Amino acid sequence: MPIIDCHVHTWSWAGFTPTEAGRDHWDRCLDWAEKLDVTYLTSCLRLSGDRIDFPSPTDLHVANAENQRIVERSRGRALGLCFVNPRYTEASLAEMEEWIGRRGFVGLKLHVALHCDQPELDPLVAWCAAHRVPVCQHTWVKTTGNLPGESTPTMFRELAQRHPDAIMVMYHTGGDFVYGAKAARGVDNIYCDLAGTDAVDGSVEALVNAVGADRVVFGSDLPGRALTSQLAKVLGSSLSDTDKEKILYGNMARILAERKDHGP
Amino acid sequence: MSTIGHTLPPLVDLNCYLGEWPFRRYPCTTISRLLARMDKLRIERAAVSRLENVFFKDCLVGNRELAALIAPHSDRFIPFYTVNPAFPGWEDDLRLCEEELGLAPGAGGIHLHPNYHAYDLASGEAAALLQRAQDAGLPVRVATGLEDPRTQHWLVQVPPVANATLASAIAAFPTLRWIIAGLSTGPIRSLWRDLAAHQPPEIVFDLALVQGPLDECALLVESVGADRLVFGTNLPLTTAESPLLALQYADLPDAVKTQLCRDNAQRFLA
Repeated sequence: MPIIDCHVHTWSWAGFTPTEAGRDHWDRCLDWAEKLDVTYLTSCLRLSGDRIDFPSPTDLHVANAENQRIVERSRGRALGLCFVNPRYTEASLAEMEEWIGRRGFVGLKLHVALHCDQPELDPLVAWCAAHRVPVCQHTWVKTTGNLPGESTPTMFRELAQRHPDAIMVMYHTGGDFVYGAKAARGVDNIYCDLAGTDAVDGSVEALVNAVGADRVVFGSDLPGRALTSQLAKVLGSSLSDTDKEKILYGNMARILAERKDHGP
Repeated sequence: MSTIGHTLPPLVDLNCYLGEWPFRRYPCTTISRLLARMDKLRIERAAVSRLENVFFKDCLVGNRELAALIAPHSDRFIPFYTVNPAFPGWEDDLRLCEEELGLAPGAGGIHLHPNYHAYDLASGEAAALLQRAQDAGLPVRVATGLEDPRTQHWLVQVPPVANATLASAIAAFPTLRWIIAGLSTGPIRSLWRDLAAHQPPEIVFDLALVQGPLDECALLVESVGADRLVFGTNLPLTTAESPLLALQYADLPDAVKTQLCRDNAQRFLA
């Protein structure tokens, strides 16, 4: 069964790689993609190893160019997401015009620069709705406390309701699928991503019960998480094979098919 | 990928619970469901503790329940009875586990929750229990954490057992047989480094919550050695298929996978 992993990062974790002196980190990500027949949707959130929570316009351009180089050398296993900062509307729209729908870029990535229910996001999401590309927004709701600009599923719901024609992917589903499912329920343009959480037994079944298998998409948060632990959430679940296929491939394939590339 | 674990040898699970969790319904909380899951995944035996004892004050209640539940399946389960050294009468309760429930070397072990039971593993009260376990030849399993602290219930925020505490306790009892359960990759590596000259001959780490980063199994084999790692599930809280898939697809020789799946655990429990 082919798999689309909608949540992959291009940075390496220094000190976490067993063959640091050997093969390139990204090559090993690609080895895993070929081993398990996976296509990655990648975003670049780090420059020189440091996460860029509040990227400048220059940072954005450097990060997206770096991501494009990764996509280029992905042996056909990666597509790109354009990283933007909604605090810089014009610069973000310029990045989107430059990358999305061209050179293997297929959607938008928003991280923790600004809470996603703020009006600054509206022109960016409207652009994505018009171009039929997904908006992938990081969300978490941490008992231990969120980062200053980190969005919750409730904020994401607010944004998705303002843009019913947009394809809204709730990255991490809030990190807590119980919470995320309640926020997503009843808002039909929200897709729930499974990435980057512990493999909590029964959690994907509960999510599917709440929002339906048509609105759950697979993501791993590679390379911080292992592909296997994230796949185990779906493959180890009691869902039907049909539902597993939708989550691992079909739903995101359908989303990606809506895009029309508009330039080289 | 449809048959998970089919290329692996039968497994022994050194990190398993039986019971309910207060904050959500899990699918695999009864003995029949646990056995069915074990059969499906070819887990031959599991070292199991009573999950309710995380929150029970009187752990003897949970231990007796566990003994009764697993008694008809003694070929499948090895009991690890929960002891809280900060609670009065633990010495008598441990004696009852031995006399009444059959706890003995080769027939079970002691299970600890230092964080949920709110004591310091390096304290005097814990040292008394660890000394008792060492004298009796009983293995000790430390549950360092059960779930991601970021997703805990807002009224029950329990940080994982600190590595410094673990290192101190382990160094003080180097001949004890230790199972360090529930650590992720980074803390396993840093604890191993912290132990340095005090690395005990009988210590194993389970793989249940080793859920990254990329190539985590190969990384840990390189860091702590293939004879220090064992299969564990953290059922019913964690998906058992996670460590299974990690082992199935790890870039490791079959002989090493067999060590991790079964041989290390069997040697440890013998």
